[in-house]
Amino acid sequence: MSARAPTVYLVDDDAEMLKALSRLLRAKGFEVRAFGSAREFMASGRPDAPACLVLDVAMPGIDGLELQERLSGEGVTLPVIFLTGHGDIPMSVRAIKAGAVDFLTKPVDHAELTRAVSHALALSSAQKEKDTALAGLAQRYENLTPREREVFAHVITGKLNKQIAADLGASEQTVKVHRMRITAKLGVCSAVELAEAARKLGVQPAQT
Amino acid sequence: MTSGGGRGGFPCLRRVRDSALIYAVQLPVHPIKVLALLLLLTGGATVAVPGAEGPRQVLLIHSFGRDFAPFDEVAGQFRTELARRGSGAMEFTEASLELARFDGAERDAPLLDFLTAVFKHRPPDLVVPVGAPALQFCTRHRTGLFPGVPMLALGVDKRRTNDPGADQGFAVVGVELDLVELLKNVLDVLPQTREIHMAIGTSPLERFWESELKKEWEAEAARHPGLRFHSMSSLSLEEMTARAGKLQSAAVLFAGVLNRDARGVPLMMESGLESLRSASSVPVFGFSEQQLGMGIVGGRLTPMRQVGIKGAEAAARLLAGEPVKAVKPVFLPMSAPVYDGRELKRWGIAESRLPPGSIVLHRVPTLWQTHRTMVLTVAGVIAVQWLLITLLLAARRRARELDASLNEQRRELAHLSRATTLSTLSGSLAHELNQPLGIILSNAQAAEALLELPSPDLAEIRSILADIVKADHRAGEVIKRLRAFLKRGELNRQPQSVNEIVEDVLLLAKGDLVSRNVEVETSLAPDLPPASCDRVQLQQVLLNLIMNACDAMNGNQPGPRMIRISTSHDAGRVSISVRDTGCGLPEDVESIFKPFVTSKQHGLGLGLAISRSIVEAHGGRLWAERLKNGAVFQCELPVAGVQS
Repeated sequence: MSARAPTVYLVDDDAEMLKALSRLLRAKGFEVRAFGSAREFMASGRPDAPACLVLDVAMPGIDGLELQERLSGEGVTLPVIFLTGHGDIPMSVRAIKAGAVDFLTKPVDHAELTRAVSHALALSSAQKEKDTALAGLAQRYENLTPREREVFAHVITGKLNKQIAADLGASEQTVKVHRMRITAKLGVCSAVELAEAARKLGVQPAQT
Repeated sequence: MTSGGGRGGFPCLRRVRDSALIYAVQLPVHPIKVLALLLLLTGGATVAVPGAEGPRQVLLIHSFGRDFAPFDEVAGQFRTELARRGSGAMEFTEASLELARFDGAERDAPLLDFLTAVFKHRPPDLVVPVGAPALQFCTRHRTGLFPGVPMLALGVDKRRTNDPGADQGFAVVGVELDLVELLKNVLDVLPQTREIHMAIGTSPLERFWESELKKEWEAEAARHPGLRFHSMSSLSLEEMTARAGKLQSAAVLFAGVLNRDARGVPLMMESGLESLRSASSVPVFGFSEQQLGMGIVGGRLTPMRQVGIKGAEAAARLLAGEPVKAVKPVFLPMSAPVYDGRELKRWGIAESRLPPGSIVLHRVPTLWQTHRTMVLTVAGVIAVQWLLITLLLAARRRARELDASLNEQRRELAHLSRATTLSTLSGSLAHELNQPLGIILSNAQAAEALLELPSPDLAEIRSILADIVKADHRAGEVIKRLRAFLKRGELNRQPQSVNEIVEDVLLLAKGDLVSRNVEVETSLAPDLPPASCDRVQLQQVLLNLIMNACDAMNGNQPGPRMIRISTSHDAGRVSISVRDTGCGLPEDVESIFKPFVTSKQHGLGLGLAISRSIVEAHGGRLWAERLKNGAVFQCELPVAGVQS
């Protein structure tokens, strides 16, 4: 069950706190999903739409920090905002190092929370876009024939068509044609973009 | 002739020598007795001054008798003084006009005969009649009795001598009695006196003075309206005494010459005054100095003693050969006012009432003066006792103070321990407070945002407000718990539910437990009877045990950090056990309860020592046991109502 609209995921073991924060964020116009524990959240499935996670640090069982660790272990790129009633520095440093977007102390002011959430959601959106774009690119790369992939690898070395033809044992004309097809299939416009696409895709330049 | 007749009727004759007393015998005089008498008269002489003819013979003739007032004093002084100053030996012969109690010349015969007989061979060198009756006797028989012998009248009042200026043929050393002064003696000191009862006898002399007093006093009384005089001369001494005892406050007694009362009883040496004085219910006044000290209040009085002394002077001169004419008559006036302090005190007469220049004799010595040593000793003993008591009381107070201060210190220590625990809890507490505060803030701001909408959902807002109130109470609870925990109270043992206390403590410590990732499992017996304990102090003990358990499990990383708390009861005791999966206890388990023993880096090592002392103060036990994987602490408390 994933929501389309950007969603804020709340996790706090204190039911009243959970209720209060949900109300506040909803009143600010955010879409909110609330969970009473880390386990509940993890059982609910990963969000598709841009989302962020507002986590209480001190929770029994799996606490906020541990949840963050697990998520990043799973490769879930969900921006995390920590809320804490303790406010001690070593904890906050640890959280930021682990990639938290923000670290707020309770009682939290609505303006601060809203700002953090908006920022996190924006990040998430941007990330989502990037992901989508990359997924599209990857898909298109799959459409390249093996021979085209080979030529692609040589093209991103920066060598001249004449040289590539010589390395591959083909004619220069053939190389030119391949190059045109690759560019079209990948949806790029220039040699620079080709190189960037290759980088994004993680394609290595051919070794000669 | 005399009543009685025979041997008993003769006047007694007493001979005074330094030590010899002879009684005369009745005539006819036995020659041997006379010889003996003469022998004694001459043979008993004192050491004669060389050249003297022998001792001087002085004949004293008493009006009443040797020991009758006021003349006894006069004569006594006279004798002593004359013996002292006279050159040569003195011998005194004393005869009494006891017969003088009876008037009339015919009574004189026996005494005349006697005296003539006694001084047959040699007349006396000086004849000294003492008092007016004796003087009258002598003048009556001047020609027949020792005509050439110089005579010295002693102690007579001026008014009794016919014409003091004229040549009497005898020397006089007497008194000048001012009767009005005697009245003034009374009125000066007790002006409110309305009655004066006069104690006077019935002899001719006494009667004389009675009439003189009445005459002069009644004249004076005209100036003091209401003042009355009552003579008691018709009363016997018993009757006088009886009356004296019944007199009311505005009356006084006046003791005149009282030598013979109405019944004829002779009263020597002021014995009448003595009786009156002890019985009297009113102050007693008198006239002579000799009465002072015997019960009269005082005032101006006749100086009989001085009369005696002055008389001796005159006698010495006469004995030395001076002619009678050369010795001028002397009438001593009354003395300056003098009072008896005891009588003043007895009658409550303030010394301020006395005339100026008064002398107060016989002031009652204070206890101090009479029993100085005893008073000092008693005072000393009392002082020592008082000192001891004070010291003992001070010591007791000191012991109490020490005890109180010890208690105070104990409480301080417990408080210190609590506060220290609290500092380790502060993180948890901050969290406990920040939760409700955060809830309130977020709810309120949500409500604000909702109200911005065109049509706010009022039901939602109402719900928000309700939640805010709830959160506020929650914060209040935290504060309350904290305050109760910190309160430095007395041991207040009440029946408490131990289960509740365990839950309270877990709430208090929740933040810490969570932040340290400690899980708590409780197994609380449902039918636990209440234990008699101080709630706050038991909370402190449990908190200490729980924190210790957490500390023990610090090193369990990762690994289970589990505290198991269980309660149970058995045989009048409630038990709490706190079990952990920590690093365990040293072999000498008891050592951990010792003060300043700690395995922690930061810590005083007092927590367990204090906890045990608290539990034991409740009549319970606290001990620990080693486990294979951790430790368990057991606390036992008596059930409320069960004597521990």
